[in-house]
Amino acid sequence: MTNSIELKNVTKFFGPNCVIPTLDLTIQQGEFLTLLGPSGCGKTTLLRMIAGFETPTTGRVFLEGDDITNLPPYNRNVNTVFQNYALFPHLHVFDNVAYGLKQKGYTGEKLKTAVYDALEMVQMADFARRKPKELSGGQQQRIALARAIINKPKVLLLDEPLAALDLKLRKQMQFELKQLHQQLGITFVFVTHDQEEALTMSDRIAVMNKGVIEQLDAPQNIYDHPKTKFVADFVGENNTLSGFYDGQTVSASGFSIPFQGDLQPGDVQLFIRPEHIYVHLKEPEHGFAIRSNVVGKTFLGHLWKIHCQTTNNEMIDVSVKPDQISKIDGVSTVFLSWESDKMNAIAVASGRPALTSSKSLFWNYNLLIMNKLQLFY
Amino acid sequence: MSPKKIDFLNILIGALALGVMFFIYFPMAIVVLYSFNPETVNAFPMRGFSLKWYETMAQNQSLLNSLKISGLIGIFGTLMALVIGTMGALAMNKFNFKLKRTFERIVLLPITLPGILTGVAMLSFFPLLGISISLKAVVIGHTTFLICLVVTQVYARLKRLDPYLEEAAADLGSTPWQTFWRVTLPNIKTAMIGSALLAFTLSLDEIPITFFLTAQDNTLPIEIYAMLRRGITPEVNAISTLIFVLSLVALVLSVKYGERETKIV
Repeated sequence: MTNSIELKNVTKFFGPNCVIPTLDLTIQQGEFLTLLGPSGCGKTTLLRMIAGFETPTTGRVFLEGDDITNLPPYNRNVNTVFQNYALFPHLHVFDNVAYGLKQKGYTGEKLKTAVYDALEMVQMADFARRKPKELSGGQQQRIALARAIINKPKVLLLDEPLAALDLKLRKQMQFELKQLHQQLGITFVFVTHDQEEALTMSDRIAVMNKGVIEQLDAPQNIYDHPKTKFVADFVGENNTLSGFYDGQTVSASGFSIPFQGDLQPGDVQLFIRPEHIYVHLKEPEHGFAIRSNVVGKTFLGHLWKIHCQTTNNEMIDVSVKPDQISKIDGVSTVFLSWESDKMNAIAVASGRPALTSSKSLFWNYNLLIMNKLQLFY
Repeated sequence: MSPKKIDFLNILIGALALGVMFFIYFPMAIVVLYSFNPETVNAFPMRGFSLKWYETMAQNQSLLNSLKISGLIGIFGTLMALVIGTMGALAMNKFNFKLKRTFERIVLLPITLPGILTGVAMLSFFPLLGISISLKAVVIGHTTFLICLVVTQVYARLKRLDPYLEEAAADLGSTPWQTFWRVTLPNIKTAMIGSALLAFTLSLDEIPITFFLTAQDNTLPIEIYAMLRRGITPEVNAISTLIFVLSLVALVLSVKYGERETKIV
């Protein structure tokens, strides 16, 4: 597979402020790569350097092997869908979409066919004679897409393009974008702060924090095996517990679990997702369980979230299906457990934490017959 | 406060507003009315209706000449202000520099300064630059205070414009020069037309600066002033009516095209 975009030793300073320390990133031909991170993490700056609106302070940017670091945006074969669409208010939809091709010298029938093809692709052919302000947010979004893809760019850059849409429309546009990506076969680089959006759409996700790529991986790996504390916290929900790893088992207050992974013995932080925790009403006879007090619960629609406090005063959130919630009504003490391979551990003291999860180990035979989230009497 | 009391207040305020408007515009109406008076003396009631004074006006060579001079000064001053002012507004919108906020305010100063002050200042300054007292000097003088009209109007429009439009154009293959002609200019065009019309009408009735900077050529307002010293003739009413109508048209157009959210300090 060839490389589409390559960033080598790229740094970016705005005056004295370092936005991106040193960064390397290779984006493959035809992939859907998402830059995910909180606002101010440098993801948009990275995108703008690929588009040509920013020049890296040091380092090089390559497009299909060609050094484009110092090319102005109008000489790069990449196109951008802007966050607020940036449609030209003085032009009709048709002329907005035609803008790039007119620039390349297209006229007459050839231009018209290309524009209607692009509008067709986003199902907006009926709106060619409208002005942008006569369109809804979702429609403007589609025009912005059509205006970019009509130029057949090598890479399509999308800067939080769905952020301004309501939830339902956003879901639909996610689906359509994904379809469009498959249809066109070009590289998509997508910027978002919405982890769910990133997980849904991407082939790979680069989770960014303070200008650094914390982890670059497939969505499932990002979710199941976060490699840093930041990723564990930012993507999905995680409970954090402190513990100690002695080479074979991880122990914390109230429990110890056999654990395998390339982790140096020492202090560790444990991450366990709310949906991976079992709630027992009685202490199980085998294996471990953490005695906790139920301090509250929150209804989320498809789930209930129970807030528990361990005897060590650590907070653990647990997801419970709505049809099971009645069983803990009035219960003040519960016992929490989980499977070892659902848990991730990360060394605390060492500089850049190597985080790993144990490979398997059914340490608790009881759990074999338990269903996830099942409550026991 | 009870609804009745509010009604009473509203009526009072409305009446006051009407009174003020009447006080401002009634004299103008009188001028328009008398311009159709067949008599030489302005007196009411008028004995009939006549275009006689418009004919007299059309034969007054010095008046027509001054109208032409005023028109030329207005056109050249407005054009120069339009070019310089638009460039200034573009620069202010694009760049951040020290004391930008101060500059934004200072740019309005020429219009708030008394014209007589500007006139005297230019009268003593222009010869130093080798610009003699002439119509050329008048055009430059007018341009200096017309610029701020253009700058404020165009700058306000630029500020409302999505800053990403220029990037979008560049992204789609436009060089900065193409971006200006295809994206920026079409979006500030109406603000430019609006401010130009306003600038032209202001230039048309400007007296103090013109008075100091002109040599022997009289502009229309100065010519009218000179005529008045020889006594009010109904001819003045006719030319005033003409100017009034022209200004009104320009003003209506300038409001139609101009920046609605401009605050004139």
